[in-house]
Amino acid sequence: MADERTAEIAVSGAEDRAFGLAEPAGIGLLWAIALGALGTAWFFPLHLALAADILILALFALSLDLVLGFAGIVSLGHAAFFGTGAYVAGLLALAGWREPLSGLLAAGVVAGLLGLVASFLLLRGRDLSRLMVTLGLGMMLHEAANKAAWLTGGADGLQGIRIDPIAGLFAFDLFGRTAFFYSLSVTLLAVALLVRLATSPFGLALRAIRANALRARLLGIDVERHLVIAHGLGAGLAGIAGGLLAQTTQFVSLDVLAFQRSAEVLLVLLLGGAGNLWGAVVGAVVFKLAHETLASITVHYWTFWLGAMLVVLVLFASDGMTGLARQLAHRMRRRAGARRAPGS
Amino acid sequence: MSTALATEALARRFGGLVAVDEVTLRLRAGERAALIGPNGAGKTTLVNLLTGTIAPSSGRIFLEGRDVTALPAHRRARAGLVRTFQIRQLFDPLTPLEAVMLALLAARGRSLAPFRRLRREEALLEEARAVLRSVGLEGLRGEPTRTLPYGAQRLLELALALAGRPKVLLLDEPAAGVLREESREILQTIARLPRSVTVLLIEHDMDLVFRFAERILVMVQGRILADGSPREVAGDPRVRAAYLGGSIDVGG
Ligand SMILES: Nc1ncnc2c1ncn2[C@@H]1O[C@H](COP(=O)(O)OP(=O)(O)OP(=O)(O)O)[C@@H](O)[C@H]1O
Ligand SMILES: [Mg+2]
Repeated sequence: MADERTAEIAVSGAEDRAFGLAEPAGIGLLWAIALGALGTAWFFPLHLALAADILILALFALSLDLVLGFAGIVSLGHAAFFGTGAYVAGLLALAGWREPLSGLLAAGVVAGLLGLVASFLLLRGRDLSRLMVTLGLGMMLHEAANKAAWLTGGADGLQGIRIDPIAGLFAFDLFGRTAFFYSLSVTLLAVALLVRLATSPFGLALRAIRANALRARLLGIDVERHLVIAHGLGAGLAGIAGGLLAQTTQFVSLDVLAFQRSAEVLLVLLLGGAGNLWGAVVGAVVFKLAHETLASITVHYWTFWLGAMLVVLVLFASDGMTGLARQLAHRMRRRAGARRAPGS
Repeated sequence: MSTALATEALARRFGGLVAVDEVTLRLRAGERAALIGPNGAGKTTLVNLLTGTIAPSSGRIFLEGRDVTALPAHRRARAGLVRTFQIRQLFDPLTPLEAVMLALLAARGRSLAPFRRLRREEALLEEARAVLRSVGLEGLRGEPTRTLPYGAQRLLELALALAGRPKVLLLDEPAAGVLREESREILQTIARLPRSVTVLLIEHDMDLVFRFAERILVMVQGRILADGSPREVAGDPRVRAAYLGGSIDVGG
């Protein structure tokens, strides 16, 4: 009797794990972000700007997770879409369109369309050629924005952006309170969308394509179409992250398109672990906090520690921090199982 | 009887090598055929041409009378032209249940649904469990594919093909590298398929071939050298000379 029951539970447990990113894990992530952010707002009310910064970086990393972690498209130029979104939101506001939500939506749509177009260049070739193409596109866009100073303000950037109160109620304030809650709401919405996507047939198909595109194709999956859509969505979300930065800081500088930003978001995602959504968020938190602490101790050595982090990561935790956590949990479960076994 | 799959002077060259040389063949609906031939004869290349993984140098392919030569691979698969692979082609991080679910969704053209929930596809989940049960894998459905024993992986390869709603099933050495006992099991699963499925089996083990096939095609150096009933093929002197080396056990 008892044995039968354990077998039953074991099978349904296996079933639960049978969908890569289980829905409970996704909903857990929503709670973790909400509680973490609100806790920060309560205990560290003076650090709301940093918290909003982290949220925007997390959103940006999540958008790359869709492209890299799920669809398996390696990108070194993801800032192209972040930057596009930032400029669209900034330029709209400067042109007099100061309503934030529609401005943010426009940022996402324009960046998403650009991502759709760019994705056709990424279909051919494997990782290395994709790396080169994304790097090249990012550099081109950065330089184009630099040269088109009449539009982008060149090296001076876009200044004097003003944004209307959100929903006509919440004006952007000096303490960054509105900016913080705005960023939190948008990030939560995006995470809910991504969780839905990750636990959908489309999410499963993307993971399959990443694992073995040939096999996926021969099961009847239109691989190219899936990749184009995933890249477009990822680019759109990156655009929203960029738009959020522009609206909340009310300033856009050329470095939203810089190579450093592309490299940074890739590092954040790999630090946290790609392909499970949690990693992007964990990576963003750890990265920003490490930056704050280390930069305040040793101003000049931040990049040194950044490099060290990268090396340690690749050598000891190639699946990032979430991968490491999963390994530990697995080992502990096995040990607990081994301890129980002799008795049964 | 109606034709399930046919080719017309299908050829593929790799540089100077003619891997498949003007092959014209016709598989009748529901047929149980085997394709045999020595290593490098062009059997896998023929399957690659049929399923659209590589393009032919010349010739045409018909699925149920329709010219599919220009149809992309995923559309052919969806039309019911399904294959397995001689060399492991699986999704390492996915569990068997996930992989079979995907095969079921893909065969119905329903994988592009970003807002549906997998868990809510109860009918498909039930069907996926049934497919896994039919190949004896239900106990392993929640383990990542990469941790499965080799024999189980071969069975999963078969399960993915079965889930693809095949009309024509091309099995490229489905029992390659597994223990004798397991290869029996795999063959039995194939033999149990309904007659609505046309099967072409590529296999080196003559025992299995003669047990399974009603018709045998012999391929040598890219050409179909012989084509007939097992008895005819076993008695064909050209086949003996070119391939079977004169000693052949017809298995009874
Ligand atoms: N992509 C390729 N490029 C060049 N040559 C190839 C390619 N694929 C197959 N060949 C060659 O074509 C010939 C036929 O190979 P194929 O794999 O079709 O043989 P096979 O009958 O499946 O052999 P086996 O029984 O060993 O599986 C071989 O000489 C092989 O080297
Ligand atoms: Mg072969």
